[in-house]
Amino acid sequence: MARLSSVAVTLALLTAVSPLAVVVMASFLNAGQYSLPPNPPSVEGYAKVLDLGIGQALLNSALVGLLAAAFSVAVALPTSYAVAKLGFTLRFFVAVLALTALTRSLPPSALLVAVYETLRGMGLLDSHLGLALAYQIYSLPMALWIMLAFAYEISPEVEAAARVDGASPVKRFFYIAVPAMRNATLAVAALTLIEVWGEYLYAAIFINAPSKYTASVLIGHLVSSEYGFDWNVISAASVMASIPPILMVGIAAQAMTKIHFGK
Amino acid sequence: MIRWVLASPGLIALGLFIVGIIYTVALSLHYYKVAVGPPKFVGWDNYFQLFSDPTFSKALAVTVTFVATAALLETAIGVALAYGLMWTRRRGVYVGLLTIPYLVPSVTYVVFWRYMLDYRRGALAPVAEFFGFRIPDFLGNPDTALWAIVGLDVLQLTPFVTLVVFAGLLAVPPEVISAARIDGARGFSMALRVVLPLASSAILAALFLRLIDAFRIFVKVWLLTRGGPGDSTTTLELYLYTRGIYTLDLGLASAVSVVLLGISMAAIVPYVYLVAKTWRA
Repeated sequence: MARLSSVAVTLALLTAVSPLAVVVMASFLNAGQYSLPPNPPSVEGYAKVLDLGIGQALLNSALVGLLAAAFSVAVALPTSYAVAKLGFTLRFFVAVLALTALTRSLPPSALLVAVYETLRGMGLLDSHLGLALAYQIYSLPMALWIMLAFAYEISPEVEAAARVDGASPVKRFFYIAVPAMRNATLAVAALTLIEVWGEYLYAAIFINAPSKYTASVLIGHLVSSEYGFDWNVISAASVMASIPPILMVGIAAQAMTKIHFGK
Repeated sequence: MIRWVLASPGLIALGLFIVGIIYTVALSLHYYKVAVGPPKFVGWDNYFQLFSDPTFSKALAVTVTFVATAALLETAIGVALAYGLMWTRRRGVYVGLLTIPYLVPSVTYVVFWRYMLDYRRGALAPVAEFFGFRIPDFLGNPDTALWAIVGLDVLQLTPFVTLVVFAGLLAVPPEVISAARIDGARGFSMALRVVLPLASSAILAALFLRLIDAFRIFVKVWLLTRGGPGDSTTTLELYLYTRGIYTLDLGLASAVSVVLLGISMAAIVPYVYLVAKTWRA
């Protein structure tokens, strides 16, 4: 059993890491080359992809991700605290949680028309602000989901003590809930950034100007353009787009194991 | 009441989701091309049009096939790997490494898969040539293209299942395992009769999350096959994009959305029910 399980684990780790390793190697190929390993390694792909605007695209992804995370946190923090701690019944709490689980599960493509019409009405098509608002479809239910579970865990004793001392709900929100939910805020921000970073459907539909492309959309265009078989170019772009989310591995690994039932 | 004020931003947002669904359902009963003019009520016309289109029926079948096979394969393999992981040391490092595929953008996986499967100029082509054969053109063959996409999805998302199930396995009390061992449980009987049943809620959660998430496959299909060859990999999402959004036929697009919503509810409703049950207990 022990030997079988270490074989399984080795296999799992290899499959988890090898796609990225292959793409990293491919990014150092020379133009027109396709057999690994690169001989000799070249940074031509990176030079080319910087020319094609990957820097701007990465900044765009970061901007949209941070905006989306800020919106979600600003909405989910007060709501989760109020629903969990300000005298609503458990039945109400579970109802909000169930509604959150439902909205989190809807296929984002199914809400495409509604979002498209809303953004068109507000004149926010082809803008990063509009895209960040559209991403609330993804990020807000997840933010509520994580924060409701965290708010539920805030110590009732501290809450009660502050109430006895005459602190108003708003004061308790700012001085007890916000600091207590620091980790939840961090987790929500990280997961939103990761989600937005990899998202393609909404970004491809709502953004038209090439200077506003997110990294995923730029790579999508490269893949279906004349660069589609320049493995060094599209791999270099992929490597650059993969590094920022991987930097958040610590926060994500912790948050991911808790997001299934929220409890 | 101040508590309602504090609660309102999120509650209003959740309300807007519901409004969005109602709007989509209502629009699906209208003829609405943005370039032509305002929506005009046409009853079930959009649905008649959809269900008389063989490509749409094909898209339904492709979507259900993809979602079911991908989610089941990922769950089965993920559970086995999580069980293996339970008996090893240095789990912290492993958990970090297994998180990576979830963090890497899907487009990177698409690039990887195109590079591997390209039978002329891919990474495997020279290797195959060395051994004197040619790798088949998986993505260009209507019989294998969908399975090639399923393969990529399994490769990227099995680690996610492993992590969720692994977290559930860690909650199994060690005393139970020791007691079962004293009673003679080994190998498969230990796994199937003792440990895995105790982690059944985590396994179910992983399965439902994968079923729900498998509907969001657009980027992989679009950048690998564009729904082809023919319509062999056209999912409902792709149908929605090419027939509804791209042509700005928003009435028809809404009807496709409603069908998509309806099907996904088969996975969503039991999941939400399980969530509510977990919290009420």
